Amino acid sequence: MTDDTTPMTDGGTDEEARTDGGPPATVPPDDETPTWSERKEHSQGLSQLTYQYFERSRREDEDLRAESTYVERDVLGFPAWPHETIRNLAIASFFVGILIFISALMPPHFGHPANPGSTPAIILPDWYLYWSFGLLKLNPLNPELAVLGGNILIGNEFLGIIAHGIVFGVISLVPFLNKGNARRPVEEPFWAGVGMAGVVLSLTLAALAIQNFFPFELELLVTLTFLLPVLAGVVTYAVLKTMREGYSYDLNRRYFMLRPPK
Amino acid sequence: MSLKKNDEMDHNAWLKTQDLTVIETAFLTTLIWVDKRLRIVDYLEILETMYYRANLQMPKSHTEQYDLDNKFWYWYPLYSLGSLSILAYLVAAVSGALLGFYYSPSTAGAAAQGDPTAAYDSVVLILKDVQFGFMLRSIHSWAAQFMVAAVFLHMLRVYFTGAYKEPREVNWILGVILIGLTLFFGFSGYVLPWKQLSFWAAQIGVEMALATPIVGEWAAQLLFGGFTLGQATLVRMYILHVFVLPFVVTALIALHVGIVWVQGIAEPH
Amino acid sequence: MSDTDERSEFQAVDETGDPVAVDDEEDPRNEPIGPRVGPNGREVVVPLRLYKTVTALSTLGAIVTYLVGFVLLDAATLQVSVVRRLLRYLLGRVGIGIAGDVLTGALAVAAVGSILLGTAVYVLGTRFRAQGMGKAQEDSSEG
Repeated sequence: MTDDTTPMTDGGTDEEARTDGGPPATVPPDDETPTWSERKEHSQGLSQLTYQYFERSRREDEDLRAESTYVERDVLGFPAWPHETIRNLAIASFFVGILIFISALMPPHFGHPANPGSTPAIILPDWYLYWSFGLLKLNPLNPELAVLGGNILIGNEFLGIIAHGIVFGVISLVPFLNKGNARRPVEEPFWAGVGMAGVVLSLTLAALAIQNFFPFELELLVTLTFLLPVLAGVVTYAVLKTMREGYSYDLNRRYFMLRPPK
Repeated sequence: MSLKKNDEMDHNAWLKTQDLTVIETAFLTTLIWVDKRLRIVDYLEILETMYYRANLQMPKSHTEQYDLDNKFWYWYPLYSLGSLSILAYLVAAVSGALLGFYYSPSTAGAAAQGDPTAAYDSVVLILKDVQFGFMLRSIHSWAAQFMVAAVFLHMLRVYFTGAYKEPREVNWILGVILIGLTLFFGFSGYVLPWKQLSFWAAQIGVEMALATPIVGEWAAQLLFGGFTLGQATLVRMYILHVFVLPFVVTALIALHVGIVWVQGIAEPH
Repeated sequence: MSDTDERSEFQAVDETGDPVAVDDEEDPRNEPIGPRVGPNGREVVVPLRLYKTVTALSTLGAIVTYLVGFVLLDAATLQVSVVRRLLRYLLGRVGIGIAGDVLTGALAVAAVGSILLGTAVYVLGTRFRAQGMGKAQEDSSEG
């Protein structure tokens, strides 16, 4: 050829295209080309192996992409493999590990054999049924009507069963009452308040179930059982309502950062 | 990607040219000798190639699919509660199957009121004589509690992120049913050892059933095998716990997850 | 690597399998083969394929010797161990009656020896590295 500065067919010059005689380096993607100093930082040990992995899978990825007809779009998320898979494995192993650890640390108590003749002082189910047990102890609420010769209209146990029906019914009805696209609690302070009231109600009902452990009057405990949830709901509503404006500003900013208006 | 030798280098000749100590030379010679015969590195290289290839064909993750920020990761444990309850369910299933080898659902053997029954004795046998039996019962019990806790928290997460909204009403109701079944699963398991608390918990169950008008007595017959507790109650609870509920709950869980799969996760934002 | 000229034997390759330019002095993957004294004592630079052999097989060897070591330790301490009973049975068949204490001692020594051997193999394996791995470049940010 001629001198190095003569423009070639692709517009560049021979000077730019010249290599040192070795084979071409890997093809870098448009704006992710690692600088030479970046390459140097990854020149040893484990970081080099990691770097090699990314280099090689990027190269193979690029080759396949060149052949495929798939149209790409920019994404921000982690890939399913290896990131999410490894993370899921980590969470699952941690969970099972903690389960076995706690089993070894705190084996459950094993009590006396059943004796139909002697009622134990404290009858309690497992903790997750405390709320249900608390619903059975609502007899102070049972309206006493004297019309049936001093008998109460519905049995205390039946009142508890009705309460269970109400709880499950209300929970089942939620998706039919609350519709729309809102997702975050700040977007719907009312429903977040209802949710918090429900959570606190389940806790106070559990407290009602183990009422023997509370040193104050039953009357007060029953009142608190229904007052505290309402209080929690109102506080949640107020807090979220106050925070709402700032939150929606942040949300909108993030939204437009992710999806800039055309 | 084949077993054709791509390493034709004469390592032994090469070793002679190097200035290595006797131990190093012996070490390398041994390893090269083993490698020439077992070809382990070649197999590993095949795996390596497959690993790089597989990387390209994985499905999109949720964070990718929904354009979620990478900062999403710290919410992730809340979004894995459903899977964690399935995981605890599996642990309980495995440990429960092992416990089932030794447990016998029978109230026989009690000479007087308050004496240990066969069911109670079989649990004592598990605790005292079976290898790892004590740990096994502990794991089974805790797995059940973890499952219930995960299910409760899962419901809270779904509620507070509004993931139950239309068109996902059916799955929410299915979830409510599953919670009820999970609780009943736990209750029936609580009755099986036939200890004092088991008995009186079952007693409350019977009383609740009998207090219900119209269907109450029928329900007590069906679930507890009568109006007073005894052998029939224990066998019914046993069959419910190890036969009916596992099938029903597993099927409903599959349906629950299947519906999520079909409808896609509720897009968070 | 089809061309087998004089330099191909020690031709370093990059992560995608392409050969590295030999006259690029700056590239750490072009460092010469052979033993030297590195920052962590003696180290031996070997071609990548040999490095893979060393890493895979020394790790595998360490795992196997550790497993064998712990199985033997089990046999030494646990009277109901399968290995121990098998050993006693075999020794009995060839007519060697051996005292329990002696057997325990021998098994324990073998067990500890196996674990030590595994450690030695693994530690020796860490001395070898491929070209461009491990030694800090003078202008590298990674100490």
